[in-house]
Amino acid sequence: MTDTLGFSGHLRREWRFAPRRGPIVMMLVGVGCVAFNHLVLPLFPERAIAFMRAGFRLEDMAGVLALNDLMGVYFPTFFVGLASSLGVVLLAREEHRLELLLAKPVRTADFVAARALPVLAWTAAVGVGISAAMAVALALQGEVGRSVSPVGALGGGLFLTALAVVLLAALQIAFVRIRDPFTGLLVACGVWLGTSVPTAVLLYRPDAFAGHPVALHNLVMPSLLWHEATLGWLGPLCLLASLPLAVALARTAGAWLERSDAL
Amino acid sequence: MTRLLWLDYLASLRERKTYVAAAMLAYAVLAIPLLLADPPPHVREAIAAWFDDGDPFAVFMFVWIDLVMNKVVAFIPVILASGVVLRERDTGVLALLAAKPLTLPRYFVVRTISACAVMLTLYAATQLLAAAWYPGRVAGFRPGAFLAAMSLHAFAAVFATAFAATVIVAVGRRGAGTLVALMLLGVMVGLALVGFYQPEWYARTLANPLTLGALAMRDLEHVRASLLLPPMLALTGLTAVTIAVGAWVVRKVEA
Repeated sequence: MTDTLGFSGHLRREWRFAPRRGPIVMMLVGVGCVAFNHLVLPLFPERAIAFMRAGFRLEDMAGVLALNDLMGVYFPTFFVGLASSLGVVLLAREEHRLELLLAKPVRTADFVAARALPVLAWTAAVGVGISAAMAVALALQGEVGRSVSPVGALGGGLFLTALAVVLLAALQIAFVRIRDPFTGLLVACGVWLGTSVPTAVLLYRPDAFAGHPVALHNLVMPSLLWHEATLGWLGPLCLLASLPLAVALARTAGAWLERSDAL
Repeated sequence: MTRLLWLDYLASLRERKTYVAAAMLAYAVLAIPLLLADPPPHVREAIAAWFDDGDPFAVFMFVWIDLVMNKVVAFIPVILASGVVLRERDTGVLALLAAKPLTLPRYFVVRTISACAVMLTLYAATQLLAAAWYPGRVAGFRPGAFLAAMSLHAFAAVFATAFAATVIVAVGRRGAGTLVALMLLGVMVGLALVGFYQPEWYARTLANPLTLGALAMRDLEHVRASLLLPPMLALTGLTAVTIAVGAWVVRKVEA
């Protein structure tokens, strides 16, 4: 009983208790969002479509649908992961279970990483599922345009999934120091909204990006569609890279928790 | 009960999350004039067509409601309401409360009204700050019409808080309940102004409480009581019914 468990052994134990129903429901919700976009958006008046096309520099209806689908990937994926990842440290601390959990024969860094990884893996699965639905929907509606291919759209969705996974893992570092889950939620919502601000700036103040092409092509969400050919391979690659990065961030959070004297 | 409500309201106002939310709202107030300094022609033309109003004030109100306050209404009420009753249960305090001369449904009502009051305080402070800061900084800004229009939207913010509290208690788990409330409010926010983009759907979108909160956008030139009062009454009724449903549902929560 006093032997220290290996990371993989502890991960297997934690995996069995990771929330599953929420991610599966949210994946279905996200797929529903994609279906809603593809069925309802074409019914909007041309002026509304033209507004999105001009504002986000999209070539055709395929671009408009894909951009709305990307929001349908990013929002559910991030927030289902956030809801589950609150349980890694924050809720356990508030409910006075953290001391008990840390008494397990496992290093704190391994403990946090083993609790976070199943949550992040399910988060990634939600993003992959919705991204695949988005690619299928675009493939089925070939008449909406050719500016975004199904593979490019899939890559964009996988890139946002990777971003959500890395952000949630990085938030664990903040969560080990935050005592109040409400503050944790608020900080996480602020981070998510912060990643969406450049896209809003593009819509209302496109002149802010004049002379800053690097910022424009790296910070705004529609740029995932402008470079859809690149995203076809970059998106999957980023998602693959995000998982080890997420583990490293979760271990960093655990190492910080270990040094914290205030449970 | 009134005393408990007052004390809970004061305690919630002093919490760190309220300060963080206030800082985020203050940031939004300060950032909007920068965002609206020079809207491109396609934005001005589209908003002028949707709201039948070419005034720069209509552009501001669209951005303020759609981009700022509707997002606020999707996130902050959920955070304020996410701990109602379930936090007490999860931290083992509910058994202690059960021994007090206060039923669980009444306790839920007190905590939910307190969360609504905190939301309303943050909301009103934001609008007052904006009304004081924007004249001269936002083109065509009219403080009277702005405050009148946002007084209606405040009812939607209060409804959203009551709705989040009820949904989270109905789901029964804090994480999952927060997520469901966030998604449902996200859908309401996403569809709030659809009736303006597609006039054929306008009547159906009135079933959305957040559309009711934005109805002042119909006629910003003449924001008047006859335009504001019916949706205010509807939102007040919806809020009362939502809290009543929550008080009924909360009986299933066990210490």
